[in-house]
Amino acid sequence: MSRVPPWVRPSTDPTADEVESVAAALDPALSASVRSATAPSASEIARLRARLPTPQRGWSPLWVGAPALVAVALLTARWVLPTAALEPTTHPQGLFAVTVEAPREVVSGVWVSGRGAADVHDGVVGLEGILRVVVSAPVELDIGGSRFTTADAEVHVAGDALAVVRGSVRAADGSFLAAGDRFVPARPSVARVAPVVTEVPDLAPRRVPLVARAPVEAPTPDAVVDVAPAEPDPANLEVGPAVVVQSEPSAAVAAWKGVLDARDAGLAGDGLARTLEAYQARYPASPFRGEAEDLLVLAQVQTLPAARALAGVERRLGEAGSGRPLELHAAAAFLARESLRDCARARPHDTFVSERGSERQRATARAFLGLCAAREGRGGDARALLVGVDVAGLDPELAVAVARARLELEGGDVP
Amino acid sequence: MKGPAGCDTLRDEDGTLTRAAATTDRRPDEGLPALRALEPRAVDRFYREHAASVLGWVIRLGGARLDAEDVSHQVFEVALNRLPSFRGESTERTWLYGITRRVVANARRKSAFWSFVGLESMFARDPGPSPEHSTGLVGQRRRVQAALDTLPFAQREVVVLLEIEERSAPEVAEMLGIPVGTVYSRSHHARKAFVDALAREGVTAETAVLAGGVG
Repeated sequence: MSRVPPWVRPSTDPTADEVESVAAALDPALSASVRSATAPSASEIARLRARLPTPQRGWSPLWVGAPALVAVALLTARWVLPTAALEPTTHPQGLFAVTVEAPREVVSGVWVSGRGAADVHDGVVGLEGILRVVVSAPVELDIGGSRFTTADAEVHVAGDALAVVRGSVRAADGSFLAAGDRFVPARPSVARVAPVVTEVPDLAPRRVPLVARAPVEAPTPDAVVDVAPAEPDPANLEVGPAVVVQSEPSAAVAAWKGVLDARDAGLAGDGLARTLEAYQARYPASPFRGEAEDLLVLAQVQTLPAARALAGVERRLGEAGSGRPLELHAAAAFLARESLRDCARARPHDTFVSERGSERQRATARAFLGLCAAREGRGGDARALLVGVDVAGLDPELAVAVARARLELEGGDVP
Repeated sequence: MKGPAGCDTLRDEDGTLTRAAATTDRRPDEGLPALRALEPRAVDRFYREHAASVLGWVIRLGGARLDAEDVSHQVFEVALNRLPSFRGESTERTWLYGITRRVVANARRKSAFWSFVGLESMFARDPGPSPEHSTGLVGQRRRVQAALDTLPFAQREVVVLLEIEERSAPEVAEMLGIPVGTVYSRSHHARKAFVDALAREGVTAETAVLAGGVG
């Protein structure tokens, strides 16, 4: 067996310059410069640490709240259980509580149903009185025949009128009353027409008319999601026949402006989604409902798991009235292609963008279609799609991917 | 040639560059049970030791399009969810780096998407004035990020870990899960490209000194 000639190794050994080239680090001064420019500052570290997630150690809020629930149960047993009648029990100090297992009329015209506990402070039994109801668990209120669901809210009830002081209350038709809102039935007050304490209210759900708190103010996002507490003037709770039947358009417009302002100021992701959902719930007949729905499904691209977000976007595309079909198709294409790795599902969406988008959007979508075709082994389609793509207008990473795919396709080496 | 393994830097408000405190590249044998149990003190120690590293990686690997603090927050969210299953077979830093590179890559894809569909303004943040602006280093950081952005991701992370953070080649190899030889060969190609890109961006050692950076 012949040996490799001894002169081979020296002739292929790296030169001193080559060794230096491989082993040498970046110029120390330049390295220090780069390190300095990209080193996080103490304030950046502090901001990050201030918002780092808190570990959850498996203690459910239910467990944490268990002692409180036990206390509530004991109190209600003391005050309520002995009186199974529908009449409320008045505490000597003007407080009474009720544990709700079945529909119960805690005061005349105010029925509470569902599981939960309701504390009624300053209980004054009588239709002319003003009650303060603090609900500490999800319960359903039936006030003058209109139903509300609420939890951790504080409402004032006078006759069949209701004013929300803290938190929010969902009406049977899905609309929300936030703090500062009040509900007045679209019929003459029971208090004025039929001051009969024993009257059993009509339990059938009915439409809930809303009276907006401040229709001319431009609300902030907080005003949409968590309206600041505002103590209503009890005098305003006098029930009259005049009722505004629907949310005022000016309030819906002003609130929409607030949503957009908040978004422009950086509200995104979960916060934006919650704001949009609150807006839709509060202004169901808003002229901006479609736009709100578009923005909501686009925000959910960032907040929901990809499959759910994609389902939401595609559902929205199937509905009439979207003003952002291009962005929705682009979002759907992204989710299908990049998150779910489903080129087939992305194809109709990328195709839409490649036909309707701006010049750059068309080129980008065409590049994605071509790369997907290559990924799926459709070499002919991939070549046809990628050959006409102007890489100069693409994102640099995408341009590199297109250039590489073209080379592979030219070499017939497409997987 | 290389600094101590795992050294991390952060900038004080006056621009002085210092080593972050207590950045040991520990194998968490001793504290692992507490960390896996998410005991507050252990998690606090974990945050304290690694916040600067993670933020630095995100700034350097993610580029200027990403909100580094947001992405770093995501990294720690993922880490917190996975800590109970962390077996301590690698160092905490190596484990955390693996999470960071995946989160950064995902964020970069989304970032490219948003700019493509024209929604960037919808999600753009107005950072407002910050201490970083007052130090005059923001532009320098953007230029370095732009230079790093010209490198493919595999080369970029070698440059970041080996050249900028001055970690040893064996440590970089462990963090990336590649042979040491590959680290050297990648760095050889990446270094020249990076230096050229820096020159195009006008970044030199002198500009950093003028910007008040190197301490």
